[in-house]
Amino acid sequence: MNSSVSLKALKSIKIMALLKLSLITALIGITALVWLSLNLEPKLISISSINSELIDSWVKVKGSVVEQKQFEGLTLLNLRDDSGEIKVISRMALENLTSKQVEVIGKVVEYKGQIEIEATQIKYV
Amino acid sequence: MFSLFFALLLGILAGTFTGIVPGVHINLVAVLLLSSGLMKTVPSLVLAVFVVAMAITHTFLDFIPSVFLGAPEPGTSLSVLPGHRFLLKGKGYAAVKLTVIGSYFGLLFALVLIPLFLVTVKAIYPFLSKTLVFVLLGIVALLILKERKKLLALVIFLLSGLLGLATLNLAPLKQPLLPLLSGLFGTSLLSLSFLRNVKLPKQGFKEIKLTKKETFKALGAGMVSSSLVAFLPGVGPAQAAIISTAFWKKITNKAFLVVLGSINTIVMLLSFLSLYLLGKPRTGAAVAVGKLLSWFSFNHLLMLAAVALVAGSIAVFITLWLAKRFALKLVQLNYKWLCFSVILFVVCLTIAISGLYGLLVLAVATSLGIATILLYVRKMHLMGCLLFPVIIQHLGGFS
Repeated sequence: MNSSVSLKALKSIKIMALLKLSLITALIGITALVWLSLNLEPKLISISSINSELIDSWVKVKGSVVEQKQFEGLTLLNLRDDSGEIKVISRMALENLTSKQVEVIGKVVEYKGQIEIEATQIKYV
Repeated sequence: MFSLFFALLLGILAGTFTGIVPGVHINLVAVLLLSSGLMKTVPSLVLAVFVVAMAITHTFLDFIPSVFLGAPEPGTSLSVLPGHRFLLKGKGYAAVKLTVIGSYFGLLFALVLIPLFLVTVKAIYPFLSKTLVFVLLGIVALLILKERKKLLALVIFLLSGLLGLATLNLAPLKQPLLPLLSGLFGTSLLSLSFLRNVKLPKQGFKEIKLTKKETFKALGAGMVSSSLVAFLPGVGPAQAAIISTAFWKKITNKAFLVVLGSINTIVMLLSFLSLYLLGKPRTGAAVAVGKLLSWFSFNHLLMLAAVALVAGSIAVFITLWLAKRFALKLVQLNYKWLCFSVILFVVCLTIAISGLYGLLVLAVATSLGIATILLYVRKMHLMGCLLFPVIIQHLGGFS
């Protein structure tokens, strides 16, 4: 009895409609995931292209650390690429990165009229 | 990319496990994850995908123990009684199906409305946090006034409220909600089933008719009430369920199960949105995601939404398949002794997790739950255990 009843349940039109719809949405979700995983990180841009229009946007820049200052709970880096220089603030504990090539992901912020990057990820290149 | 999909599948499996095993909550897995060394070796985004997939899947599956075994969690407590009624009529599978319909369409509904939340939440949040307590008070008053035995309903609400207040403030008690909700909604019902020697009928799989109007109304009520609580501290699915009743003069069990399903999933999804918009995580899973992701961009939000969509869609298949297995297997067991086994399991779990204080809470809560059933007062008033402390806390904040 049980198996025949369960078979009927599976063949029930409303159940099938629900399962079909779930399958479609699962496929839509997977497609979105593939696209997003390829476009998750912000595109790499040059330091000179960062301006006030990008405030609150996420950016990725690559460059050499020319200066590093350590404060309590805060590190200030001066990052330079071929196009220019920008201040990067980090609240993470950092080792000495002076003269090293790094890739920074962070949010563009304005502090005392100056454009800076508040970093959330800094890694060696 | 493959690691993300692997994490998604693992998360769905973990959510299935935490969903169907009573007492195992996703917060436990999230805490284990954060305290393990995995954070150093696995990319944080991969772990966040795992947590979101697990959390969303869990909200679909946790109605199975609630309906078939009477073992609830905060989001599913109120489903125990209607679920049990369906089970005793041989419609346990249909009860779970109604919650799946609620969870799935609630998820789709909430995903579609994300742009609206992005625009409005920050502006509405301060107003909402000040007024919600009055909304809750009004709805509680309305619920009691709707009851035929008004005085008894008020007494049950206040007694459960005092029990909730005492339990949540009992310092040495770990996981206070486990004995509190299990006692009020689970073991009380199971004890009566055991004592009354209830026999389970053959479980059927016929469709339960639910009109489109009823379904849309249930989903709308679930959406509105979830949105009211999802961004605020101290309130969750249980409070949303009470708010949703204000949309009906008399809500049917069928519609209520759809509402509960939708609330459980929508509140979980919106807790991730709350983390993104307000920086305030409102569920254990959102806390874990917040700790894992050092930066949470709009693309991250879209990715987690896509993960929720995939996990929820797959959870529909898993939940319906497992519910059918439960329905087929359960009738082969002696239901009286199954009730006894579940009660024993909850007692052991309570002692293991919450200790002897937990056992005391379980005993008191079970007694109050039994009294409520025998007095023919709606079990909804037992939600006083969670509403009363919230109301007291908020009113205290205003004085």
